[in-house]
Amino acid sequence: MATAPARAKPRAGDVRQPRLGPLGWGRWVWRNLTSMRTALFLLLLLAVAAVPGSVFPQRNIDAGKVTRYLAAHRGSGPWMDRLGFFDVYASPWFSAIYLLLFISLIGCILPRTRVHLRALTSRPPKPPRRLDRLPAHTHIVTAVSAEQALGAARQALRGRPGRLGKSRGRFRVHGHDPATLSAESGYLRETGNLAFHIGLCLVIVGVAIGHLWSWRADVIVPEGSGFSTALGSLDTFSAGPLVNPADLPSFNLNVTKMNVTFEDKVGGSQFGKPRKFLADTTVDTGTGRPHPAQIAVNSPLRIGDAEVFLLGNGYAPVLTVRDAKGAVVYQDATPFLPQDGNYLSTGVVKVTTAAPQELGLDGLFLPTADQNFTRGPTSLFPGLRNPVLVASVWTGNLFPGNAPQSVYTLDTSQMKRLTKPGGAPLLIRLAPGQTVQLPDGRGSISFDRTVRWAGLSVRHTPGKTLTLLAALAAAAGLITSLLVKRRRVFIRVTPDPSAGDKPGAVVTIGALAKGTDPTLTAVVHELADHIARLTSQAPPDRRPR
Amino acid sequence: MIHPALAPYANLAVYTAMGLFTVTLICFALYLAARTRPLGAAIVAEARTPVSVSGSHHLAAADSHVETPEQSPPAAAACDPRDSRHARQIAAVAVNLTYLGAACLLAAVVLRGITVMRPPNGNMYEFTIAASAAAATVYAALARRRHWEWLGAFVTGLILAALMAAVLLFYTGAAQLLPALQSYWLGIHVTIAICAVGFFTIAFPLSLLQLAQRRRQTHPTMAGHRLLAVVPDAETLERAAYGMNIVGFILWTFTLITGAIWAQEAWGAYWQWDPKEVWTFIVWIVFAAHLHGRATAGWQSRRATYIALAGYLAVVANFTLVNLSSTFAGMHNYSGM
Ligand code: HEM
Repeated sequence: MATAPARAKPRAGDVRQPRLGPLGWGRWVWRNLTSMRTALFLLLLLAVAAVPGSVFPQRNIDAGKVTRYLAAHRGSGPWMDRLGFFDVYASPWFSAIYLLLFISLIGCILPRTRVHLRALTSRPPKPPRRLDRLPAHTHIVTAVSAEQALGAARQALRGRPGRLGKSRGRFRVHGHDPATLSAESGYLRETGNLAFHIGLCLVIVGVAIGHLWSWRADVIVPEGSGFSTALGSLDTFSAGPLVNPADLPSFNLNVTKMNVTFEDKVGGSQFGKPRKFLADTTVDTGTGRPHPAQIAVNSPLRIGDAEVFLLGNGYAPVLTVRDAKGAVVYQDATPFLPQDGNYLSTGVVKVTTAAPQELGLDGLFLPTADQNFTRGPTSLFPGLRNPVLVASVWTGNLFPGNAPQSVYTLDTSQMKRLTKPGGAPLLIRLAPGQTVQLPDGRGSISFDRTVRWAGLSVRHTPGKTLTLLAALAAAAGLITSLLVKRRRVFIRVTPDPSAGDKPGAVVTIGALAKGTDPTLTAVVHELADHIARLTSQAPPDRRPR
Repeated sequence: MIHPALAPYANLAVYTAMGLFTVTLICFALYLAARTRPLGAAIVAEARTPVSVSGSHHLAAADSHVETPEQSPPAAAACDPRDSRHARQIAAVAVNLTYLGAACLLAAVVLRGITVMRPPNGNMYEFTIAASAAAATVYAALARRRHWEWLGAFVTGLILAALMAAVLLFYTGAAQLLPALQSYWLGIHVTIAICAVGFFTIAFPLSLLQLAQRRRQTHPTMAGHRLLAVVPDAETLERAAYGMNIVGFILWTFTLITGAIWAQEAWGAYWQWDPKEVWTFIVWIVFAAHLHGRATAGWQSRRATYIALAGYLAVVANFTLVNLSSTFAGMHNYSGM
């Protein structure tokens, strides 16, 4: 760095900021980033930045809603998408804020820890010259010698905290010179505050571990069937970047029964609300002997490292499709996905073995259908009271180009919809036990019965114990730092000039606290009373009550 | 539902509490009016009768000048001895009515809990009643001890407004819960949240009064404001609000932690940025920022107070907008509203 020439009167335009080298800039940035003002600003920014994620639909919660939003807002939607408004919590700007906050946090913890460790091992500082300038102070006059008064003061400081000083802890006392005492208490305040901030860091570490090493797999399992954790039989599998799929626990799980009840007694808004979701299952962890287990909402099943959660349920109509000769070409329970609180459900059936062409059903399942369909196909109650399946039938090529597709949608781009003799689109409507013959010798479709399905999620979230423990440590640190008061008390003893030949000493007490301490004055008075008692006087009438 | 016969009594307790708090509000308002009148006399009395330390902290500094006990504080302080006998009598009635009202609300909560045989915090109606009970209890516990009679009109006003909203807008019949809510974590997590809201609700009017009082202290034209003349000075109000906010903040920290534990149990993920989680987080961050701002050297406490007020608005938004507006629809939309 160039040193500015020493000149008595710098000319105008000559005043220059000292030029900062890269190191200087780095230090400047670091100092500002780790200042409390920046931390405060980043905290507020984080709060504001979190809002859009709760206002606009988010992909991580409901991707379908995002698609609908984009369809409804063709102008602004794509721009918002580009700016990350539908993935707020993974967007660069949101990440930037919390990463900066994290760096600021570490940058502030390190020096504070160093300072605090030094304070923990050092003596309280020397008293200021004028104790009566301190925020709380008082003095008493005793009839003992200065040494005796000092001894009493030391004893009072060392004694047990009184009623008001309870949260102060013990004073650490040191006499820098024969006439004064310096005392400090409440070091736990800073310890707790550091524990709080370090705990926050560890919470973030735990979340990061979860991000890198967690995995989840979702499956929809109709009653009477099951799945195995071998990847092929899981509907979806997603994992953090560092997960090795070979490490997944291996087990088979069968759903024997899905127990569901809905509110049917209380009227009003509660009618039809779910009351119980419980899956009866059997689990085989490779022993060959399956054992029964129950999974309920709020009560996941633990299998090794993994947990199985019951996250959803619905209906799977069991359909049988026969060809023209009556041979069964399809027989299965096909899960339909609920679309509303009354379980109006949508689903598709893909029959690749149908002849002469592949066959597809695009259907609605109504657990309690409105008898007359007065308001179109609606369901009036989520329970199975009047189940009806309504579907349109398509023939042609189910998998154009053999492209992968969802099991819940039908790609009709290379299919033709079956029609009634008059040419109107065919819509089949079936109750359990009913069969409908398809036109043109395409066979028949029977609706045999309805089973329920359980939506299960197998998950492994490492780091969650660390996150929890860190959060609890942070909370404990927070309580300590907010309730413990850090106080410094100084006492000076001077001979009482008015005592004449008799022994006499004036004891002046001054105190200051870090942060808000409404009881500081009371603590000073308590000490004064204590010293007065120890110098065997009645408590002086220094404070009108 | 195990004891439907008790449901009407739970509702009756709520209506009784509303009646009681209406009378209480009137009494507290009369008390403030009675205090504004003998102001001149009060200040004279004050000079002779210094205020006890625990009663008003802003006096702490002045009071410790043992040599000059006559130094009079800058603003009228909250302290019974200076009130006229008449004012003190009204205050005593009002505080006793507060005790009764709080007891009524607690009874309503317990009765509702027995009616449905579960923690009575499963929907917005139950939450509002319980949060009002929490605020009323916190205030009732502190009113006499801290000489906060001047605060009563504001607190009971807020409680009354909340109860009206509960009865007129949020009313939900006694019923069982959705499976997602059937967990003992409902009792733990929501009860802690309710207590936190109770403390934040006491801090809110304290912060508003503090801002008004600060204006009065810096704007000579407002010096004669009669209502503000009978509440403590801005410093004292700030410290009182701080005391309530730190308890609320600690409880909110546990709300966040227990909520995450519950989410892990119920949904298999302790944090997934569901709108309710987002807003609980925002509330926490805003109050953390408030405490930070307060502790930051060179930051005006007025600005820190604005942050605390924003935090309380976020609490209210978290409860109303996020629960009711379809914009925020997430996994928490189960209130049965
Ligand atoms: C993750 C974000 C953070 C949160 C949620 C947070 C929260 C808090 C809270 C609640 C307090 C207690 C305030 C009080 O004593 O009244 C506090 C104190 C403190 N924080 Fe933070 N903080 C964060 C980040 C930081 C950062 C980045 C720094 C460094 C610049 C910092 C420095 C401090 C200091 C020095 C105190 C002590 C204030 C005092 O008691 O005088 N904090 N923080």
